[in-house]
Amino acid sequence: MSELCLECIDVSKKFRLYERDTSLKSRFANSIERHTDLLEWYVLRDINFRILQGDRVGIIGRNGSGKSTLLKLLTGIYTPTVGGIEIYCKRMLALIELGVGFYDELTARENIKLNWVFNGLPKKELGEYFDEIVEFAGLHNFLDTPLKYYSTGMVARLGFAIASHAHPDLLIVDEVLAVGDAEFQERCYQKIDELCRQGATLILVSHSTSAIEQMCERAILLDGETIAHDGSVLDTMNVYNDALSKPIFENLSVSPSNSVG
Amino acid sequence: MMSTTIEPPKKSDRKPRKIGNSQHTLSCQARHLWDYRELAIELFWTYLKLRYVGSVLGFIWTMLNPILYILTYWLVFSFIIRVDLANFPLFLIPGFLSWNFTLTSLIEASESIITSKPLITKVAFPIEIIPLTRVAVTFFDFLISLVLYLIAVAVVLPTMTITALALPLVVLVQLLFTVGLSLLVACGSVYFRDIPKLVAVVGTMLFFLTPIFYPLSYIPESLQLLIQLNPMTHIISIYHDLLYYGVWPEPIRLWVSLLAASASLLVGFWVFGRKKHVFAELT
Repeated sequence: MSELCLECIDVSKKFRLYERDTSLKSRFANSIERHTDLLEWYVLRDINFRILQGDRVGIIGRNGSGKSTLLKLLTGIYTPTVGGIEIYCKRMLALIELGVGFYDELTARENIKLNWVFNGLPKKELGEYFDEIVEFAGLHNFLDTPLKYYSTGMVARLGFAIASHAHPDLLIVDEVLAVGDAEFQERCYQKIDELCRQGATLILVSHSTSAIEQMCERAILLDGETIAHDGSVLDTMNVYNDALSKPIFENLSVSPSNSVG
Repeated sequence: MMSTTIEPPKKSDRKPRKIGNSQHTLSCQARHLWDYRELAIELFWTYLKLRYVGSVLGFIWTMLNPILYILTYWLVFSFIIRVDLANFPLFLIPGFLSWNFTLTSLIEASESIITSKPLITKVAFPIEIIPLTRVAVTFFDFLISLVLYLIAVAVVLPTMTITALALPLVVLVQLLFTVGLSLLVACGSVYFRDIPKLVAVVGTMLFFLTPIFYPLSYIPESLQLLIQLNPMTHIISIYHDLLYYGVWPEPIRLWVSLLAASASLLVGFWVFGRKKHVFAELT
């Protein structure tokens, strides 16, 4: 089981600070004043790592350290400014926010169908998993109720149920599970665990250390625009906690660790 | 087959999916769209459904809107400002429906990317699908109203000639033209938020500057060139030729429309493909 699943090669991402002047008039005014010095900065710089099939990798870091940006790069929502990402797995599913792509006016049944194809999954497979999804979400009695009458928790359950029952071989999870109650979170983690034991790869992004300690074997710490540490969960957590306890976080030295087996 | 050492990791034989800066080619774009065709179909039905959820008159609304406009124009241009054409509604309706399709598509498409922000920033899929399905829904309405019109004419006033058979051709050309232009305005509105408003205003202006409720021959020589620069002039004239006059259109008109449609389609897809990777950051 040492096949390569995903590789990030020299990935950098630069953002520009866009001001609120997206109307033609202000653009025009700006172009006359030659007001071209848009603020640009790197969120991520020289990110290199490999993830093997079956790995369980956590990505941690403070707010604004680039966790979500990295995730959006991996899923293809953003394009890297420099470098590239190679994805070898067959079916990547990302849970960036539960309930995205749902329409309030549609019923749960219709939303399951729509969300399934939004994830790029073949529609003919849905029949096989439909009952499982409904059962996991616990929504038997509400299948034909428009989603606008659902509680936040029910929507979250449905979102997770769909993604987790599509048999992904790479599951990317952002801090989405925080919406549900403790019991639901526990069930989600169990389900993810089950998928991993069947060979799926997991990338879990969180700033809560407990979830990563529970789910992952390896952790990547993002800080100072790049990978500050990449190693076992225990090591990375120590580096992270050390750094957090220091008054100025930037003291953290950037260690060149990009070869992980 | 070989021993299962951990390092170095085996690269699988399959070619990886690459996320990088080099995926702007049209064929790449087309393949990606094709992979997501089921999403496009599902979204199309969703948009159709969503429009009428909670509205009592439902489908009738789709038809009521153009009918009310047509009645108004008929009143104005037949009885107040008299346009001297026999059976004026038969002249007015096809051109109006056709114009309505293109303009509504452009307005819908220009708003589509901005209003789909939650999707674009959270889910990875070919963004073209959003404006394209909007256009598809408008096209669906257009087809239904056109067919209803043809049936009504065939029953009430059997004036239709064999030239009506060429209708699908011009409908197709117009569709391609509209799709390309829609992608262009959808893309542009991400950069300039006033484009939806601009489209509405320019659309109203061009409605009067395109031979929709008057024939092309009414336009004085000095303005002919200006008016004929608008591809919709040629497309709508073809509708008039086929359905009202019952003659075959001049080939040059067909070629101009076809050229405009291909150019619009190519430029639309190309520009959209070049720019779509920044939509998630900009919206």
